[in-house]
Amino acid sequence: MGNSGKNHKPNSNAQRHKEAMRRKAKAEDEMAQLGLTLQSDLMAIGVILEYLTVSQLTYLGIISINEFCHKRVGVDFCIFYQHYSPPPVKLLCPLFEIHKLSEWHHPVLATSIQTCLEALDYNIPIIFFYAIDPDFIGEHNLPSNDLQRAYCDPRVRIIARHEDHRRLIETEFDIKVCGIIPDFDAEKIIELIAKETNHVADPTHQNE
Amino acid sequence: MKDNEKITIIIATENNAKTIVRAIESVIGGIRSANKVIVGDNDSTDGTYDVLCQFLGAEPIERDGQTGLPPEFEKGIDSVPIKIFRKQKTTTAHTLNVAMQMGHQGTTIFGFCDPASWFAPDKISQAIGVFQQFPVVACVVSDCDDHYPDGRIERQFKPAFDINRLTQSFPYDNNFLIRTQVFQKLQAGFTEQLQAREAYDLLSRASEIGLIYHIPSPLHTNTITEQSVSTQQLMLQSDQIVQQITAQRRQQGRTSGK
Repeated sequence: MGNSGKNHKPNSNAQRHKEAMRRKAKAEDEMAQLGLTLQSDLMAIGVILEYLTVSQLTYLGIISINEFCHKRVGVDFCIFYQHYSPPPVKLLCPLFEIHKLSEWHHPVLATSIQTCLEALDYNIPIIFFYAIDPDFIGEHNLPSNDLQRAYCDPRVRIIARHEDHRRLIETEFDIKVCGIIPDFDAEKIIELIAKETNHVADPTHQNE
Repeated sequence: MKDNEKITIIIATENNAKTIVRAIESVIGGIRSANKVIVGDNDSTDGTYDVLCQFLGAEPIERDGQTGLPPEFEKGIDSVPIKIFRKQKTTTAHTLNVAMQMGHQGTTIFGFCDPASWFAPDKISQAIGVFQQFPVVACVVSDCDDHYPDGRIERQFKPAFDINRLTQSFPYDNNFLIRTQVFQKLQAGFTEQLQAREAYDLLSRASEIGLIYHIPSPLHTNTITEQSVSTQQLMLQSDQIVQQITAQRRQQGRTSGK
């Protein structure tokens, strides 16, 4: 059967190959926009939320992740939660209890001191801590070594929300903040994580 | 940047003669000024209303053989209409509601400025940017600077909005901007029975129908004065009342399956 015009299904090896190449080129193009290639190790990012109830972080985070899931291929988001409640927006990505982090081997994004401390208890190579606000200022219930661990552990990379927060964190903990992302922008977060993980991947491989 | 918003800034004064003009000038003199300013005076005894009349050039009027300042007056300054009025002493919440009713027509965003505070030049423009970027945002709050009597200015870092935190304490203040539709959806304004913390109550209710967005920049300055023990107690009691009302409302919402 020849092409009838209405039938878009590839019906020969040549057509199937052409379609596959088109999809590959599209995926490559999308990955390139995030600073990645199809061979990149970065396949998924876990986002840890303390609560799923309404907050600036949860709302904007879920909206941005959903938008990313609609638009992009190549990198997946998964959300891990510490305390369950129905999320304010329908999720388009998988949702796991936090103990599932024991089976997780991709980068994670902690979003508070508590989530960062919990992530540190799992065998996760790199933890990005998106400090949406400098919550250590009002945190009087935590021992100072816990605060130090959340911000200064060698596995933790800090992302700040504002230039003033960056200065405050760097001064308080004598560390370098790896980036500033004003609102939870999933694409910018992936770009930053891709950049940082490529950067830190080399010494690890050398040790191996 | 052009926008189609109509911003009305509401100020409720009560004995703020020293600071009120600075507050008004800050909301009409920014990068993006207010479209209208309404100042309601809650029967000040320190001459606040006289200062307002003088600022706008309101002349005394004669009525029933008596001469005095007009109870209402409106004049444009830098092409921004400024309306002032005075009323018998009630709660600040009531004064704010009266002022809002006067400026409701055509307003898309209400802004509230504490009479002892002043806006940064970009507070209104930044808030408009947030409202335009995120349609889900009901209200915009921000960090601030605290200005102490000794001249010291201290940056205050506020937390991002989180409904769990908001049920425990009120980290923000009376300087915020809110979409007019929020009041339509709430079918109410400020709770007039509250003696203080009316903003805490309003934002708690607004947070149940839209997102509160916190801008992490110091977009206004608060004048810090020493509070009397009775004021501190009143604030504490009001906080507890708001928290109780919020808890009851949530409980009712859960029971009715909302």
